[in-house]
Order: sequence, then C-alpha cells, then structure tokens
Amino acid sequence: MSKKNKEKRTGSLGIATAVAGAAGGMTIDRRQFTKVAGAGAAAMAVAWQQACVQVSDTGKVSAETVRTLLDAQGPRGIYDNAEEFERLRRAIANSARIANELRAFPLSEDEQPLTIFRRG
Amino acid sequence: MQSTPIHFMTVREQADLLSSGEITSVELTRHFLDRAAELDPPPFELPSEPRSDHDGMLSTMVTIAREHALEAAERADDELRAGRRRSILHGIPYGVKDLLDTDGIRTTWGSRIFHDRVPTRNAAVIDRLAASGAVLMAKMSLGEFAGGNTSSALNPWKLDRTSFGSSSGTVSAAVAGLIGFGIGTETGGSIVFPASSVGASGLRPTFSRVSRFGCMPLSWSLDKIGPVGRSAEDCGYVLEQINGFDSRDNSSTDRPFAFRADPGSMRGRRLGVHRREFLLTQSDHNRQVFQEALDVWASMGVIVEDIDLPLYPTGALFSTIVTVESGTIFEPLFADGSAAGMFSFNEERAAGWMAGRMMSASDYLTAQRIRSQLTRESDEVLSRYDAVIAPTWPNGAGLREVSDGWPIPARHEWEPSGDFDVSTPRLNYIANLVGHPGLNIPCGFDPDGMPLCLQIVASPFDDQDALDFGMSFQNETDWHLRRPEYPWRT
Repeated sequence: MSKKNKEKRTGSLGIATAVAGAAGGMTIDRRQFTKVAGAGAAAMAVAWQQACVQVSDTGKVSAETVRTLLDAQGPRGIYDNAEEFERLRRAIANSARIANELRAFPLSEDEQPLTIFRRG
Repeated sequence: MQSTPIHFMTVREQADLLSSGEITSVELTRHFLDRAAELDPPPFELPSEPRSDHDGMLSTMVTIAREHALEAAERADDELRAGRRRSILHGIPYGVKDLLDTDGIRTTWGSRIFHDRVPTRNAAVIDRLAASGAVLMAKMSLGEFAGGNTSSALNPWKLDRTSFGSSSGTVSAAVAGLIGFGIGTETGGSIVFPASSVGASGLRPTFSRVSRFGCMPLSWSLDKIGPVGRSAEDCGYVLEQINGFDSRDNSSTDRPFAFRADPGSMRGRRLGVHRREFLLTQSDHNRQVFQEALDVWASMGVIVEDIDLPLYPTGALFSTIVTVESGTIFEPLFADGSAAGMFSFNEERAAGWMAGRMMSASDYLTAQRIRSQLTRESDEVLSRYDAVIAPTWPNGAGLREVSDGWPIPARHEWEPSGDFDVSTPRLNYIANLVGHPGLNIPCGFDPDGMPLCLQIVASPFDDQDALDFGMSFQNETDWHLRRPEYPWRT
C-alpha cells in the first residue's frame, strides 16, 4: 500500500499506528480498529458490572476483574507495580460500592441528568 | 484609638488611601511584597517540594511576582495621576491560587510535575482583574491539583492546626495580612472550609457566575472561582469585578452582578437555620458561640426559623462526579506515566481518578440525575428564605498531620464523631452540588482560640443576599477584624 493510500485508510488520527504499537507491531485498518475498540469498550462495561456485583457479594473486586478493566482502558502505566495495583483495586471497589449506592437511590423516571450542554 | 495597619485594611480602606493620594499603589504593593518577603518567603527552591520544617513560616506563596507587581503598580499610579480609576480595586495587590494561568508567571497547580510550567496566557479572572486595575503580586499555595486532602499553608492562628484545603495559601495570607485580597477556587468546599479554619471571609459565587477559562479544571460541572478577603464587603467588591459572561467557559451565564455595599434594613428578611448542623459540635462553648451569632440577626428584626434539608447521598454524588471528570481531565498523566510524580499522599486520589475512568457512563449519568432531583428540592427550600445558614464546620481547626512532608488535615479532629456523619444533610455539600452561592464569615472562637465560622447560602444568582447577611453581621460585630499575631503561635 502506498503511503498516500495508507493515510487515507487510517485517517489523520494515526490510530492504526497506535493500535499496531499496542498490538506488538501488527498493522490493522480502521474497520479492524473499530472491532478492537468496540470489544474493548464492551469488555470494560462487562468488567465494571462484574466489579459492582463482586463488591455487593464479597466487598472486594477480584484481581482478574481489575486487570480486565485496566487493560480495557489502555496501558497499565504505574499500575503495573504490585503496590499501585492493589491501591487501584481498593479504589475500584470503593467506586463500585458508591455506584451500587446510587443505583439504589429512589429516582423519578422522568428525571433527566444535569449536563453542561445547552444552547441559548 | 490605634489605626489599622495597612496590611490588615479591607479593600475599601485600601482604596480610600489610594484614591485620596495618601499612599501610592507602588508604596502599597511594596509594603505587601516586603512583608511577604520578610514573614513568608516561598520557603522552597521548588515550592511544592514536601518539607516538614516550615521554620515558623506559613508557606502561603508559591511564587512572589515582585517585578511584575511593581510594574503593574506603576501603571496603576500613572492612571490615578491622570484621573483614571478603573474600579475600587485599582492599585490593590492581590494573590491568586496557583491554579489560574498567569502569562509569563509559572503556574504549578501545586504539583512538582508542573513546577516549571509557565503559561503564555491569562485565565479570564486574571484578565478581568487586570482590567479593573488590581495588581497581581503572588501565586498562592494549594493542595496538589486542588486536593482538599492537603493544607499546603499553615494556620496563622496556631501553626500546629490545619488550614484545610485546597485554597489554604490564599485564605491564610488574607488573614495574616500578606495580600490585599485573594482569589480561591472551590469544587466541594475549597474556599469556605479553609476560610473557616482561619477566620477569613470567603465567597463561593453561584456556579457559572465567574469564568473558569484558564483555570485548571478538577470537575467541569462543579468548579467555582471566588474571592477571599478580610470582610464580606471585600468579597462583594471583588466578585463585581471578576463575574461576567465568557464564551470560552461552557457554564458561563450572562447574569451581570452589580455589588451593593449597603445591606439595607434586615428587618423582615428570612433566615433558615439548619439546626441539625449546629448540634454536630459536642462543645457547649461552640454551640453558644453559634447561637449568639444567630441572635445578632434576630436583634435586627430578621425572621429566624429552623429548617430541614433533604437527605441525599452527597458523598457518593461528589465521589462519582469528581472522580469520573477528574479521571478524564488527568488521563494524560496516566498515559505518559507522569502520575508517578504525584506526592505519595495523593496516590489514593490518583487511584480514585483511574477508577473513575472505568466507571460506566450509565452510573455517571445516574449521579447527574440524582443531582438534578436534589437541585429542584433544595431550590424549593431556598425559595422560602433569603438565606440559609449552618456552621461552615462544627469545630475549630484541628491538629494538622504531616504526610510526605506536607501538613494535611486531621479529619478526625474536625468531625466530632470521628467518622463523617452521613445521616445529617450538610448545607455545604448540597450547595456545592446544586451551585448555590455560599459566604463564610467568622463568628467567634473555640476554647483553643481557633476561629468558628458560619456559611450563609442563598439561592442561585442571589449572591447579594448572602453578602447582605454577612455585611449586616459584620456591621454589628468585630470577629472579622480579629488578627493573628506575628510570630505565629505554635
């Protein structure tokens, strides 16, 4: 593939390069990227729900769930470190506990979320 | 009768001296600069570097912008000589929390990660204050990334006490007479809590009154910028200059604020008292102080009534909204690994941000829906009163602790029961979530000589009502005129 065509397929975001870097050098196109990203987002949503259930059942979040969440959001960074990882695990458990508390709050079905987006 | 030293004067008193020509802006600015250099020079080569030894200094300032200040003061004097007075703030030196960008003057956000960061633009508030003729003299210390868990500056009333977070540098300097007035920021209590710990007058304006453009965001939907001074009147004069619409801030609203320094008659005005918070302190002395303050308004003919506030999971709402928004804002720190440079006492906070990045959008929106319901309910309560009041904090400032070299609040000293009492609604947290203005004013001292304060909350855009209650109280009392003595008590 010519350089020009390659840029056309990957667009200006450089996402193919980024994903290829994360995938160990493999080059993928936008369609493949969408699949990978979609799977990543789904994995995060599923793992987050899993974390909420685990906290509700045991008060803790499993290391495996934390790893899934961590990998779905991008590079592990400082959380590759075991001590930091455990800190994050506690923080996720706390956030999941809070999410469960808010989900249980009685709320009118007509209630809309406050967002800062508005016109006029 | 001994006259008030210049550095303890209110905005109006400083302005009167300047407009009458009794003092020039250069003289006033040099006075504050020299006082700061003598009593509280930035103690560290890298100001955000952790140190436990403060050598009796308050550590209120990250950077003193001496040359910049003197040049601005000279310009202010030139204009005054030419008969041009931009505003009541013209020629008065001020300090701003080191969270707001200042062109050519480093802005660290209180973090060693950004200790060399020098912006090439001004925050909107800095431009507005420049247009009003005020003189920027210093960038004030704060908790790293506006963390409420650290009090970077010490408390001038007693050095072993916390000055809370995160605008601690601004409030301590205002009370210690190191700046003419100050600018702080608040997400969940970062103006009023530190102001309470040192007895400063501090105003959290209505959300959206003051542009946040050029200020480090912590939470787009919660952040506010507001004035700190030595009187409620000071806060009104400053808010008048910094408020206003700004298209660069999505939250900004075109509801101009014109300050009225005379509160007028208070007779017949309605003050809602959230009595349950007055009973949180276990100290009979403190309860008596708070009651005597309420009696001051009653003696003016104010109708004082006990009220209830709705009980909502405010802690959970704050945690969700702030961690999700902060997690998004500070994502680059995690992406490039620089989060490793955060102070050790902030590691839990950083982990919370990362956890916020993993929370589902649905849970974030659930929090914002609950917040919407709370807004409607609390607006309804406020609509029946001109203002609602509660102790800003039940007790005086507690002992500070040291973590990674930084003084941090010992929360158990602040909370009477040791743990946060979630069964009592807190006016401050509700008001912050729903964007109500809140004014902190001192009303007495606890048995250890630490200030006790009240927070006066008004309906959105009724900032003047909160100020009226504050000014009328300060017209009848002198708690706001009490000053800590140097050398600061240990």
